[in-house]
Amino acid sequence: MLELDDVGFGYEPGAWVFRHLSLTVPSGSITAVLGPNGRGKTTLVRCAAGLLKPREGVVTHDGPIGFVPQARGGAFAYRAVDMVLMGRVRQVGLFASPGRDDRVAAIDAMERTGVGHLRDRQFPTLSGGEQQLVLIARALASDCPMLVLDEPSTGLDLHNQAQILSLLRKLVADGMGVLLTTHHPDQALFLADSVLLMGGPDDVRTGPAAELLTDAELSRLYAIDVHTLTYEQNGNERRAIVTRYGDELD
Amino acid sequence: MRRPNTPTAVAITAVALVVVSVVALSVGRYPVPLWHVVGVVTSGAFGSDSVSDPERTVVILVRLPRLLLAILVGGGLGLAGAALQATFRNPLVSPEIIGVSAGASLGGALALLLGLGSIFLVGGAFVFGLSALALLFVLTLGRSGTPMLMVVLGGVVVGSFFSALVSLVTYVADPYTTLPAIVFWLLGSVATATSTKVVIAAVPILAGAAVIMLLRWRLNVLSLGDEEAESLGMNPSRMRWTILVATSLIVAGAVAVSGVIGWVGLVIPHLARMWVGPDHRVLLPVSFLAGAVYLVLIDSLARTMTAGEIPLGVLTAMIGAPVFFLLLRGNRDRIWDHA
Amino acid sequence: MELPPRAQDPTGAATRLDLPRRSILAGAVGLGAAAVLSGCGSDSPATTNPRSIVVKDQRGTTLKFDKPVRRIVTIPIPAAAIVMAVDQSAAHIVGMNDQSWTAVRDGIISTIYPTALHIAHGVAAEDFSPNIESILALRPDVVVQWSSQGNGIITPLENAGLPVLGVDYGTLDDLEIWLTMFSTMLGKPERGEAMNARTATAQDAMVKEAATRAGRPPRVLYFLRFADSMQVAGAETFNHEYIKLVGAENAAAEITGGFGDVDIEQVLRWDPDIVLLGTFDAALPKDIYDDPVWKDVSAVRSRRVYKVPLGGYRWDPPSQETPLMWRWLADIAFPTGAASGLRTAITDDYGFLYRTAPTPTEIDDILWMDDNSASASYGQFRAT
Repeated sequence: MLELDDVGFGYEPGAWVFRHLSLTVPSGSITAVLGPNGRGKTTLVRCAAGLLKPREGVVTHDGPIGFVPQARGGAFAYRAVDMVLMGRVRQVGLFASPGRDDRVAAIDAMERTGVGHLRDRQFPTLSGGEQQLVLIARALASDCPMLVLDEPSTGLDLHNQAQILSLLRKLVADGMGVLLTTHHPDQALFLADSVLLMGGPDDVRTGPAAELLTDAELSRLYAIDVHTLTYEQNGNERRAIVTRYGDELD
Repeated sequence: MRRPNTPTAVAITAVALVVVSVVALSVGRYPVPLWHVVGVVTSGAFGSDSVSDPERTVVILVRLPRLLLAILVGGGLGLAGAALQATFRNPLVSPEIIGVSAGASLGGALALLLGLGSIFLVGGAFVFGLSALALLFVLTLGRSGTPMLMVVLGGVVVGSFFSALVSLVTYVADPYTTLPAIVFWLLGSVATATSTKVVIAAVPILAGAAVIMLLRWRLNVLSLGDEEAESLGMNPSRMRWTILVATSLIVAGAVAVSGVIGWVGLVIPHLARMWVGPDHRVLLPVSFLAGAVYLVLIDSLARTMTAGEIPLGVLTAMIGAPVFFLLLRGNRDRIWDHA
Repeated sequence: MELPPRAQDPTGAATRLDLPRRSILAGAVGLGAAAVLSGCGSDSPATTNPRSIVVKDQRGTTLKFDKPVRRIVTIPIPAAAIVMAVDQSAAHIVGMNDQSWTAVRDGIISTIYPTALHIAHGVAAEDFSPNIESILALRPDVVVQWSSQGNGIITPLENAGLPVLGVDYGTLDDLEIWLTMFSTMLGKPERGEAMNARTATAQDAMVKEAATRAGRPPRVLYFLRFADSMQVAGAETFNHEYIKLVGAENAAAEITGGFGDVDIEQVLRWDPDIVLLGTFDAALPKDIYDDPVWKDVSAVRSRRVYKVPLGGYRWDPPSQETPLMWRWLADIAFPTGAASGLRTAITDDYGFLYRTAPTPTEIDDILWMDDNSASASYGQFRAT
């Protein structure tokens, strides 16, 4: 369970990125944060993960939060398993090195995210999707009940995106709480129980995904015409979101 | 290249250190046959103080302190370099970058200028090395999450400032008495090793090295960057300053007894990383041992190549720079992507 | 040994061999000396013979003076003391190097010529680059400057219209040329001749004395520096020449290129019979006697470690007092058991050089009687 109560944050004095923002992410559910570039999505998840201290309001959670940043190469080419082991910082003593238990936890986390076979590969040589999965494994290895992910599917191809989404659904089914940012409303629609739309400091709306992700709301949020198409897949009704490219300049 | 596992890598470098140490004890301008060296060392451990015959004098009083000093300084600088490269997340950083070497140089140069004894030489290097660090601290303080660039720039500023003060000291030094002493000391040498100096160097170097070794796995986490380290549950700022203070201890101890010996802290961790990978649980002990091996070898060359003494700093640069150049050229991609 | 500093060669003496001093003076000052015989030995300002004093300096440049120079600025550090010895006075030096001044202050010269302490100093930087404005303000007749350090330190002086006497240093020949040049431009060439003749006589006597000695000559090791790094005099040094002159051997003769840094192992291997500690740092025989590393060295076993004397000038580099260094070293290397004639020689030479008679205490200080007292055969120099 992660709870933000009337949280406000700003980098410059007097200016707010967001304010009076309240949000609850229960265990076993996914909340997606949507909004145009530069409206504070990343700032919000960093506040939620405890990396930024809110200027006002309170962030509470009932356990450590596993934060998954956007994957970058890094300066040093650690092996994938060593990257995942670093998730055990909280469990390993100050002057100690990871022991057998930590290693088991790391390998177990890698198996859960489907990257067990990559454990001896050097992290920077992995594909973007593999790196993202390793970083999620690292968060899992820390035994946290709550994941916060910053744009986990950005920069990935369709197959890799799908892999991440399935993994997240699986984790939620196991009781994990998830807060993530995304630029894909249809992914939010597919994944999320509730969504948070960030249009600006005074334009923050939260609600169930199905209610908030409407053509009107999305068109307003992104300032472009958005249409939802409904189709059938394996007997279920699915929705896809499309835009009409070219209209935004009119 | 396939990375060796931890025990193998450490064992290989440790054996290499033992081998070069025995060689170092048996080479020099004064001829002592290898079997005499072994005899002297084994009996020296139990023998009385009255080292009388010249071979024993050479091995126990001349070569052994020098060997120990080279091991301490070379190992310390190798380890300090590896720790700094992790802390600054930049494989091309060396102890010189944070200005501590320059600060320690100033302290030592001042002691030489004023004609003070060796205690002041050591103390001066200490005090001014740590002052450089304090200055860096003040320069980068007052902002939460000081960006790494700021720390690096601060190190450049502090280093330049103290280098300028060292130049000032050499400018006002008497060109016939103190200046040659300062210049010789700045060039770097373990030629004046004594058992006292070994003790003086051992205390700060081993203390700093112990702290860094204890934190060796956390250094991996720190090297990911502040945000990731913090999100994983570590306080990166406190960790970084702990490492920097420990590094300063090592550098000040090394500079105090042997002047500025460059390149070891840059080249050795780099070579070690290419061999064993970046995991500091392996990299740190291997860097220490390899740095010791390197400096013992260089010092053996310095004192045997000619009847005179070639300054160590000159040799480490002359050998280190071309080797490093070749490695950079041959591994341009590896260095940055999979170092 | 106030020579321009060069890396690893602080004395400058290294690069040149000091050789038999059968002199090549003809080229240097022959002409000037001849011209000057026409008489301006006195301080007569009314010389009627323009350009009557001609001096060719060690660059090969010819300088002409209407009358004896009365206002001299010296930039090379040993030049001030040598000019004073030639002049037997400090009256004609109007400016000198800081380092010359501190040598005057700390040595016996300030006792002999107290006014020397009031002479302007600071006319040049550490690297001998002249401070043109302060030199111009002193209105010198001539500026003595190094000729071997490049034109950068000479040209500014000449551009300012100052006559520059370019000099070189490091060998006995150089010293002889200096004495001749300085005495000539001061209008008393006979003084230079007398000083040079005295040195030549002492040298000849030393050669004869050395020829009488039999047996294995002691091996002498001279340390230019000892306190921080060990620097010894190799074969191509002035020190090597006087070690040979008195009939001893230079233990470090294998070092080439002047002075060389060595480590203790090399010294143990050479195993010198006698160790000389130079006057350029504070090292004393005690430092060696107390060091366990040295205990097996022959010079320590036989207590033959000595600090080189420091008189009106340092005795280890070439100077007006060099004949005294020869006497001292010969008595150290070949002690007879009898009292040495050195103290008498010092008194004689100081009368000749400076018109002064040093007290027994002053001679004790010159010879480091206290610091050398623990060394063998030093009792021969004790005051009787």
